[in-house]
Amino acid sequence: MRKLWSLLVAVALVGCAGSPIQVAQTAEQKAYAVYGTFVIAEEQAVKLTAPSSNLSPTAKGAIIAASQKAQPAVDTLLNGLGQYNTARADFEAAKIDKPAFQVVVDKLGGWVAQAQILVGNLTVAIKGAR
Amino acid sequence: MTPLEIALMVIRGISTLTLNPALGGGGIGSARTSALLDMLGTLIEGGSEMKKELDEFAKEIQTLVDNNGSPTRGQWETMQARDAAARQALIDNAAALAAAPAPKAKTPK
Repeated sequence: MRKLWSLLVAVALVGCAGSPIQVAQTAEQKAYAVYGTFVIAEEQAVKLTAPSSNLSPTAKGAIIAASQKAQPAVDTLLNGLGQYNTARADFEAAKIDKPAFQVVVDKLGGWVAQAQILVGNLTVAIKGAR
Repeated sequence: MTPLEIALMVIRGISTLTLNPALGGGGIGSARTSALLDMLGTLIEGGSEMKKELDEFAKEIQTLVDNNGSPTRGQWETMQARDAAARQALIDNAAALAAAPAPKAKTPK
């Protein structure tokens, strides 16, 4: 059951051609794509772990733990996005130069990559949670 | 009908058959098999539904790419609202799970 859930999440999140994350190009588009993918997976986790769901308590617990484990990386991504938006506003207002803005853009890219790994590796988090 | 939908139909069908005494089902083992198959069906259904949502979301991203645009404040706020609701629902589900009575231990033969 664990392996099947892992397979389903992996296929849905990463394995499909044209996934939101693969389509996105700019740093902000990628951040939005990773965040949205996580939220969609989270909403499915809610349905699967609802009291009315026929999944076993063990499976439900693993899914809940996996979702909660991915949340900190997503929160870090959102914080990084806030810093990016501030830096972009400053850059557009000529308060900071391009190299300084690029540093923030690169940082956002790093946070996006970290969150993407966790969202894409939700299967690993599920195994570890048990 | 997609391959996933066909697989789901087959699984649900097998689950029903395993519970049918007239077809040799209906025993304790069959009940467990049926329960497992139902769970499998639920997971596949969930995965299929998630894929559809992701496909729709990918179209939204593609529109941003085509317009060389960034997500609007409204798009971010909508996603954050969904996230907040989902996190609270997971907390509620976890609490319900913790409060649920423990399954009865199997009696050794």
